[in-house]
Order: sequence, then C-alpha cells, then structure tokens
Amino acid sequence: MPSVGITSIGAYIPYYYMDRKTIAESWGGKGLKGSRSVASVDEDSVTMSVEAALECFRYKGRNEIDGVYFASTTAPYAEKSHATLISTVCDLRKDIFTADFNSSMRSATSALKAGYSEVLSGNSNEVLVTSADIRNAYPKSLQEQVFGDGAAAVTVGNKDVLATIDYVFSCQNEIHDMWRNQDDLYVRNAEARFAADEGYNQSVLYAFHKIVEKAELSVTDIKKVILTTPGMKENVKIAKKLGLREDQVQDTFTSTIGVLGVAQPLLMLVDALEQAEPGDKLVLVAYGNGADAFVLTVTDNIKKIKDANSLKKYLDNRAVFTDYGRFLSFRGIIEAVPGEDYKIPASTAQSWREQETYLKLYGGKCTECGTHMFPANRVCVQCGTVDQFEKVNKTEVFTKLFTYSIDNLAGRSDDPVIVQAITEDADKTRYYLNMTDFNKDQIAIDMDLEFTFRKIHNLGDFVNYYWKVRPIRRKRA
Amino acid sequence: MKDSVAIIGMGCSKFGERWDCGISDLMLESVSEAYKDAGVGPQDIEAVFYGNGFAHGVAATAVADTLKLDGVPIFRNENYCTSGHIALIEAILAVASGKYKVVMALGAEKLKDTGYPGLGVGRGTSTVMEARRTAPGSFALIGTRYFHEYGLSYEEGRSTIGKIAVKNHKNGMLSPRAHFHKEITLDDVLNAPMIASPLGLFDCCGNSDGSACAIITTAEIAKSFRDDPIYVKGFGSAMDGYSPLYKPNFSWTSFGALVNSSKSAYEMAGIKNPREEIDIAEVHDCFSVTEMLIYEDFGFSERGKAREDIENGFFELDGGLPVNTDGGLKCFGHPVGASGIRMTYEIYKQLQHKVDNPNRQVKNATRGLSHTFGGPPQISALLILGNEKG
Repeated sequence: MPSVGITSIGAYIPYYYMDRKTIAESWGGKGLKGSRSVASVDEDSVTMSVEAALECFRYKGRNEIDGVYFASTTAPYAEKSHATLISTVCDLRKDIFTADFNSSMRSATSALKAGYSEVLSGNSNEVLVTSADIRNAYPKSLQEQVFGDGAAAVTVGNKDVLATIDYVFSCQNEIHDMWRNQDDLYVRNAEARFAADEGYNQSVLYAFHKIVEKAELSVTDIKKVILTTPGMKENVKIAKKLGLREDQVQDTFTSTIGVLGVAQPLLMLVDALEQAEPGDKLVLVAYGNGADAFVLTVTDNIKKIKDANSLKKYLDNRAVFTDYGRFLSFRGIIEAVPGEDYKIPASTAQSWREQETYLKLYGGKCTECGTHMFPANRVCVQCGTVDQFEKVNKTEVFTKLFTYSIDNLAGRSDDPVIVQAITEDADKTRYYLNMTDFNKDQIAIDMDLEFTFRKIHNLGDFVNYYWKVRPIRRKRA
Repeated sequence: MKDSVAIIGMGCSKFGERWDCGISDLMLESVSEAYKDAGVGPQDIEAVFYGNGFAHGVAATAVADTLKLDGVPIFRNENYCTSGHIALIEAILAVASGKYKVVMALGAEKLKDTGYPGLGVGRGTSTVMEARRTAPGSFALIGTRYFHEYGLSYEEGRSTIGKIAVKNHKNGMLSPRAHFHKEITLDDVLNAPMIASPLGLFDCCGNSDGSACAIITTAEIAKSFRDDPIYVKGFGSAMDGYSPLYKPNFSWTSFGALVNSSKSAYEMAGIKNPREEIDIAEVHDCFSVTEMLIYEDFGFSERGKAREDIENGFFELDGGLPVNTDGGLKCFGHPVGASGIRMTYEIYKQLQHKVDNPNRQVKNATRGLSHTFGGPPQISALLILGNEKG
C-alpha cells in the first residue's frame, strides 16, 4: 500500500483582530481575555479559502492537483459549487474532481478523510482540501467574543508526504448541541453542560480511545494531540481526562484568533506539523455531531517546511479593529446607511467570459515584442500585432506602487476609504486595482505589494470577486 | 482651414444646482441668447451638433423636442468631458465642408436630477475592475506621482495646486453666471475636508446643471451677421491609444492626448510659442492638479516649472497668460457636455471685449484658447479663436 498523507499546508488569518474587551465593552461588560480575528468587508469563506490554498502551492505544483474539496458552514451560496470557483481562482486543471462539504463542524475533516480515501483508492494522486469559516454569533453573546474568522488548507497525496495518515476512525452522535437553521444569522446552543457532556465530551473521548486502540498506541507515544474545541478551552478539560501532559496538547489559538469553526482542525494541524520532528506521532480529533479521528506519522520530508511560518507571519502582521458598529455592519448584522454602488448591473455572461481576468488574474505577454499587459490584450500596445500573445498567471507576482490616491468617499458607507493603486511588476506590467488591508500612514510610492483575491460587491445578485493589492502578508518581500 | 469658419453668436445659461429647470429649460436659456446674439432664428439652423454625456437612452431627441427643429439633422457627441468641444469641432468641420452654411453647436447637461453630489462611483465597462473608481480618485493619481517626480513634499504639492483653486475662486467672484461665488484663501484650501488625497474639497470642481450654445457659419459671410465675429484659428483633439490605468511605462505626469491635441491646434493656428502668443485660456480644471498638468503639456510652462509660474502669478487675471478667467470648471461648474462650449463662450466674449463683468475683461486680448480633457483621463480637445483674420 502506498503511504498516503499530508503533502502540503497553508493557513490564513485576516488582517484585522478585535480585542474581546472591545466587543464586551460595547454592551457594558468586561470581556474575555485575548482577541479574535475579524474578516474584512471584502472577505468571505471563499476568499479566505483561496488564501490558504495558494499557500499550499509553496510545496505542490498546481498541475499536480487532481481534486479540490471545499469545506465551510458559511459558504456564500446555498446552491452553486464553491469548489469550482476556488479551483478556477487557483488556476487548476480542468479535468479535476471538485466537491463542496458543508453544514457540519466536521466538514473539513470529512473532506480530509474523503481526500485520503480518494488517493488511497488510486483514483487521484493529490487532493486539495481547503476550509474556512466566518460564523456569526448573537450580538452580546459570549460566542461573539469567542468565534474567529480564518482558513486552513492541506493537500493529501502519495508523493513527498510530510506526514502519513496511518489510521482513521469516525463516529456519529445525533444531538442538538450547536446548530443553525436554514435562515438563521446566528449559531444556536443547547444548555452548556448538556452539550458538553452528551455532545463534545462523549464523542471525543470515544473517538480518541478507539483510534488509539486501533493504532495500538499508548498515550505516551503521542507527540501532539490535536483536539478541536467548540469554546475557549473545552479541549484542555478533555486532555486532562485523557491523561495527556500539557505539552502534548496542540495550541487551539483561541486566545489570539478565536474558534475558527470548520477551519479549526486543519489550522491546528498546520501548526502541529510545523512544530513536528520526523517520527512524531500526531492524533487529530475533530468534533461535530460525532468525531473524525486520524493518526499521523511525521516523515523526514517535514524538514522542508521548517521555515513555512504559516501562522506566525499572519499573527505578526495584523491591525487592531476597534469599531464594534462597523464589525456588525461588515457581517450583515446591522445595515449601515446605503452607499453608492456601480451603476451597471453585473452580467453573468460577462463575468463568465472574463474569468481569466477576474478570477485567474491573467496578463498577456506579446510573443512578438515581449511587452507585458494586464489584462491580456488582443492588440499589443507596443507593436500593434493582433492575437500574438501568451497568457501569464500573475497571482504570485509582486508589484511596486507607482502612484495612488486615498479616496475618503468612494467605498461603502461602513468602509468608505478606497485606495486606488497603479502598480508595476518586474515585467513592467501595469495594474490598476484597489488596495486592501492597508495602514493609511504607511502607503508610499515604491512600496511592495502582493495580490489578494477579494469580494467586490453583490451586483446582479451574485458575488462579484476580483483581485486587490495589499502590503505583503502572504510572503515576505 | 484657419480663418475659414467663424462664430457669430453664443449663449450660456446660469450654471449651478438648477432644481427648477429640466434639460429643455437649460437648452432654451443658452439657445435664446445665442439666437439673439447672432441675429438668427430656428429657421436659419441647418444642423445641430449636440455635446452631452448622459443622455439616458434618449439620444439627441431632447434637442429636437425642445427647439422644434423639424427635419434638421442633430448629431450627438458623447466623449466624456470633451463632448462639448468635439461637438464644436464637428460643427466647424461641417461648415468648412460646404455642406451647411449656418449650424449650431449645443452642449447641455442635467446632472442634479441624479441624486448624487459627484459623478458617482464606478467607471468603465467592467463591473469589478473599476467598481470603486471616482473622478477625484483617478485625477489624484496625477498629483501623487507629480509630487514624487518633481520632489515636492505632500505639503508643498498641495499648496502649489491649492493656489490654482484660490485663483479660480477669485475669478469666479467676477463671473455672474458661475455656480459658486466664494472667495477663498490658501488656508481654506489646505484645511478643507479631504476628498481623495492629495485633493481636498476646494481642489475639486462643482457638479452642475448648465447649457451653452454657439452659432457657426463661414468666415466669408460672418460679417453679414455681425461686425465682430470670432474666427476659428485652430482646433485639435487626440485620444491616447490605451487607458493610462493599464498602459505600460505611462508617466502620470504628462498625457499624450494633451500634448498631441495642442500640437495639432497650434500647427493649424500657426502658433510657435503658446506662452507668448495666447492671450487668454480656459483649460480643463476639473481638479486643481489637472490645470497644473495642462500648463506643462500645453507649453504654457516649461516641464517641471509650472510651480514657478503659479507662484509668480503668471496665470492670474492680471498675469502674463490669464487662465480660467470666468472661474473655470472649479467655480463656473462642470455640467459635462456643456463645459467645452461654456469655456469657448468666455473666450468669445473676451475677444469681443464684451464680458458680462468688465472687471474680469482681459485688455487687448486677440487670441484665446478653450480646452477640455476627459476619460480616465484619456481624451483632449481644444479650440483656438481670434478676433481678426490672419
């Protein structure tokens, strides 16, 4: 049997975070310790999933990917594939299998398990699993402080495996402990001790014991146990019951990022792998009306991701968000005064026709004179030849700011400042894009920028996505 | 073609927030004045060239419906802010061709029914690529780059262009039909709310309703209408071959459209040194920074030296080359399709020495230039007029 396992990793944490006390103080309360991540107004589960997926291509070529699984409970469409959208944005092959996993808190581990089986069966060699969530909790609830927004992705394959998946185990447990009805904006909860006793605790304990037994592991053999948590530290209580030492319990990042929903298990796995040494045994247990459990063994290949820095680079480069009102408006909880939108309605046909520009960020290179243009142009601006160009994917390219303006009135009323940016890459390609995730005081000509996939608006009653530029976060300049 | 076509009558409506007027009322205001000024009536008009940016799907029928010009061709031109100027150029070409003897160029725009204070958000034909582009945000791109290129600090740059706003407001005070009448200081400009850095509120022109009209005929018969017709010395229009937003190597401190259109007009008018040979100019000051750029691209100032001329008052009403004597777009207002003809109206009256307020009359003006610039920006059009042949 080939060894199948994790072959690449990626994570994404939004630029903004809120101190929990900021939220609590808006209601006259004191607040929990720490902070939570906050997706910006131009982000959703799709854009964050793309960010995490792009990170995976550090270690896996795009052409190697045979399948894309997207997992989220907060995907923008109730009907329409998100995995195809993400696959297109990532510029993956046409002949691949795409699937959406939703509704369950175990969506990401379900997708991981499906990907594992897919590779094990020999149908595919490499599957990308990308997960994200941006869950809403009732305003003033504790969960509003506890939840966070973010994404994590892995690829599962049979070549250059970082950690083999050796054993899998799943169980199911029907219970209404946390749920959200079809039209609900907020997550609902059963009485806390009931939910913990009969939901999380029961399933996690059962799954852990079963998989350890299956793998014939003793607790002391395990380097890290990756236990997801529905709250700030339910995992720690369980870990004690399991007899685990503190250093065996993988960090949940709830104190700095929050509870990430579907993205939590893969985000924790990404960090655990980055801290791991060859030979380490990892156990992952993810909860959601039952549990999915995995035993992994870290291989020598882990050395090549030593400086991956997947989470730290984002955590070290964030900005505090202090406006609770804007937080509510960004998430569609309250409606700020309407701003002005572009007058032309979005066309499904145009968006489809232009997807190499809108979604893939393709430029063109003239095969006659070598001039680069964005978007790809049929007539070369330099030599005038027609249809003599090759398409170039520009998403990984860095650009420098050539000129800009900071417009205080052009955006939505809850996010009015728009930075128009003219940028230039090393091939002298010029781009006109808006800037996002910026510090207004640090914008300067010649600053380095990278591309980020974002939500522009919902004209035409569908989500219109496009790229923006931002100061470097995903990669170091 | 120089001196073969003449303007024999013009009219201009009051500009501003004309809540009481529809586009027909605005047209009637300028057309009535132009008929009277030229001593003609609707029966004399053989064709109309209509400059208008926002027809809302009714093409040029608003002109026919208003003026009751039965059976007369009405050509509508829409070219961003240069719509009025290009309508004028089309009218001039039509007369020069020999097809028509007497034609009308008419510009009209009713912006204030659309419920927004500026020209709004979103440009271009793609719903996502320019979804948040605004006019101030785009023209501010020029300012940021210009300041960088010529080593001006943000404060130096802002105060340089701010002086243009102060000048135009001062001129606007002397202009009864202008949208705004408010004298401002440089401090007012610098302390005003920021719209799109480096452009503050007073760096931006007004968004107005208005209309302007010209009656055009051959130079040969012009004097049978009036003693002081104004002759067309030259015109030019140019569009850059690709949007500056995406064009490789584009400098953002100079626009080919400005350089090429002015060169073409100067050649036609036989002008070698515009700084010396032009007595008065109305140029496209949609934003203060645009006027500064035009000084250089039109050869009024040497490259990189506009600042010195601004500091020395060269473009003031009593300077070497007075620019935007009626307050410019800045104060007179900017009803897109009407602006080019309104600016030409000011030159026409100045060259006849008949401006409506003698305090802004430029003494001994014999040759003047009017100009508009539009798009992301990408297109420029101008006209050079004189009060004598030769």
